[in-house]
Amino acid sequence: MPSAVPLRPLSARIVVGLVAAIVILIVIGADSYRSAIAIAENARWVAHTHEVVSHLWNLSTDIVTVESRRRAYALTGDDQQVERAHASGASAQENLQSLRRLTADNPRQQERLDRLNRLVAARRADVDASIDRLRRSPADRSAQADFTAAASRANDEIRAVIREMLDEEATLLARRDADTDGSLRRTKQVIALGGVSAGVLVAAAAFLSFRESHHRQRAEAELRRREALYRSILSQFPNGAVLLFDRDLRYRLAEGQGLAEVGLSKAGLEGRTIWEALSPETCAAIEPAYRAALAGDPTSFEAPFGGHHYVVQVSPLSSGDETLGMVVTQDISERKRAEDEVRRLNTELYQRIIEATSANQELEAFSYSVSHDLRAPIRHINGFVDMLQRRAAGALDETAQRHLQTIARASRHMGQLIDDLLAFSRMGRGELARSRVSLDALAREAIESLRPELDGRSVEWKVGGLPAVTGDPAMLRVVLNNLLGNAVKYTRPRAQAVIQVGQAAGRPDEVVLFVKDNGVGFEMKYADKLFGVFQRLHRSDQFEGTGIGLARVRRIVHRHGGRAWAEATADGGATFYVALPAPAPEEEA
Amino acid sequence: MTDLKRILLAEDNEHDVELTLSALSEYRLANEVVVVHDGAEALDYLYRRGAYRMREEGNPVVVLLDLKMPKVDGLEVLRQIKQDDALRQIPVVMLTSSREENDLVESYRLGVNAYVVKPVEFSRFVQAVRELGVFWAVINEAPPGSVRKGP
Repeated sequence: MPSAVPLRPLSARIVVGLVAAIVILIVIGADSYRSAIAIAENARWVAHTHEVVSHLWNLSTDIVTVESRRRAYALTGDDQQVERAHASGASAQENLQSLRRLTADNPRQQERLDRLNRLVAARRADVDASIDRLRRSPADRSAQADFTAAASRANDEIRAVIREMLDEEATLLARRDADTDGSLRRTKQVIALGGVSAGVLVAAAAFLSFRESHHRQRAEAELRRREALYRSILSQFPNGAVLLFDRDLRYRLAEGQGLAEVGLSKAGLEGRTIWEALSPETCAAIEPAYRAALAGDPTSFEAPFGGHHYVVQVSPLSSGDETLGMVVTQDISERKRAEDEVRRLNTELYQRIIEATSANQELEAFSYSVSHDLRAPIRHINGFVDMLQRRAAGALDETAQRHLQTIARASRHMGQLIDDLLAFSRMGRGELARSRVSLDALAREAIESLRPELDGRSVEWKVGGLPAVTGDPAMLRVVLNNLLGNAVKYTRPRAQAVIQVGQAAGRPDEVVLFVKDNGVGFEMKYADKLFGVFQRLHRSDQFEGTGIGLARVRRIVHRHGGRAWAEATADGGATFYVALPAPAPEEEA
Repeated sequence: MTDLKRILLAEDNEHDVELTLSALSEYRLANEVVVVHDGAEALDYLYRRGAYRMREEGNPVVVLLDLKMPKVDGLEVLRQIKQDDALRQIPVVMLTSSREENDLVESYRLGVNAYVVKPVEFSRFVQAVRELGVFWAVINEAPPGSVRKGP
């Protein structure tokens, strides 16, 4: 039988069986009692009948005695005999009265008694008359000794009535005996049948009870096994504890690895109230939450305890017919520490951001000022040199004119430097406007824009297989313009320039673009300097430039999360690489 | 170039004024240029108050505004022009050294009609100023209320 047998129906059956047995026993008892009373009643009636019979016999004897004393007097003339005859007559009268009383409930006997009374009274009157006659004429006493025929007939009538009454009583006695026997027999049957039934029921109840007890034991064993299992699970509860408490705020259960860490124990809590187990301060802190849980309201709070920090959940727990409270504590000290650390780092970061923002603002103010105030004088120099050249062209000799040209060129270069520097500084600021960018299209646009510089040169372009990336289109355009522009510039000494643009193998999370030329190249030991601001590897009278271009390239690439590098040999061409993060798969589609 | 119109140039730097006038004069556009040296003067001129209380009526066909000026800067002058029903129809051109994006964005937000960065190279500067002068003073039909002088 499965262990989950419901115990209640069995109990109900047992109770029903026992109640039935008790009812049967009560019925048996009641019946026996009733039967005993009936038997006792019958016995009383039997005794009564015997008394009636006894009085009848006495009456009969008294009648005979009266007759015999009258006769004895007639024969002897002894007056004593007369007294005895009177005494027996009185006794007969008493017996008649007794009988009248005893048979008061029986009309037939009363009617017989009436008759008997008349007969006996008549007979006594006759006897008294006979005695009177004997006294008056003692001579013929002997002649009167015998019974007269009338007296004999009267005595016979009296005896007949007494016989009737005796017969009646005998019949009643027989009937009462039969009643008693019947009652006794029925009672025996009831006792036997009821006893057997009650016995069967009690036996059944005992059997069921035994079986239930067996099941109960098994169920209890299963319950104990499960409780042990749950406790064992709970005792493994990490970084905290599970507590159960009842209406008295007494702990019913305390398990969990966290108990020991704060100096508590299962033994120190289970069976004790909070006031017995914990400090008054702790009790004051937890009691409202415990009470609320017992009232059905769960609460959750964070609290320090024993050097640790806990999140404590107190919730109601319905256990059968009683409500318990359940406390689940979780040690969040580590999290707390981490949060504090995060907060500290955030504060620090915030501070840094403020500093950086203020630095940025200063830089912005600086570049604004550069933009406005540095460019103006250069423009003026340029403008006035130009006007001077027009006005005084004829008055100046060749050297003076060359000097003016130098001033003009130098100021233009200065203007270019300032513009490049401003562009470079602007690139570090502002958000990237990310979108899908076709490097192929950007490369072709760059080549188109370079066309004026290719005038009279022979350049072979090999562009192919360029991927799309995610990035800021304007910035990536700057990258390609710079790289291709450099390639064009540094292949200028070559009769046949070859510039190759394509995709190189790289890490799976990167897209690598390369620009390879057969230009003048550079020595690899200077490769590090290549991407620095104002760093140049060539004289400006060989190759013009401000030294900003590759610095801008690297900065843009870094802002996209990529990297840029170059490989070259002196006079053997150069290859520039730009690696950008590969677009996310959904963007690839 | 007979149908000349008045241009208001607000520029605090004398060198720039000279270069601008020089550029305009090459194309005979300079005789109608009124030069003011800060934003306050520019507003005085436009509202005919202060030193310009007695000037003849009529708005300039175009205002060339430098951004960085003493007292009231170019953006503030622009704001006041564009907020005034009587002035807002005057075309305003920012003529400035600055390439700063913030200035550009703010100027267009306030309703500037054109934004020109002065080129460093004089020949290109001359070309830019000339084209501006020709466009606004000659090609463009000025709004009603502008001064228009006969030959």
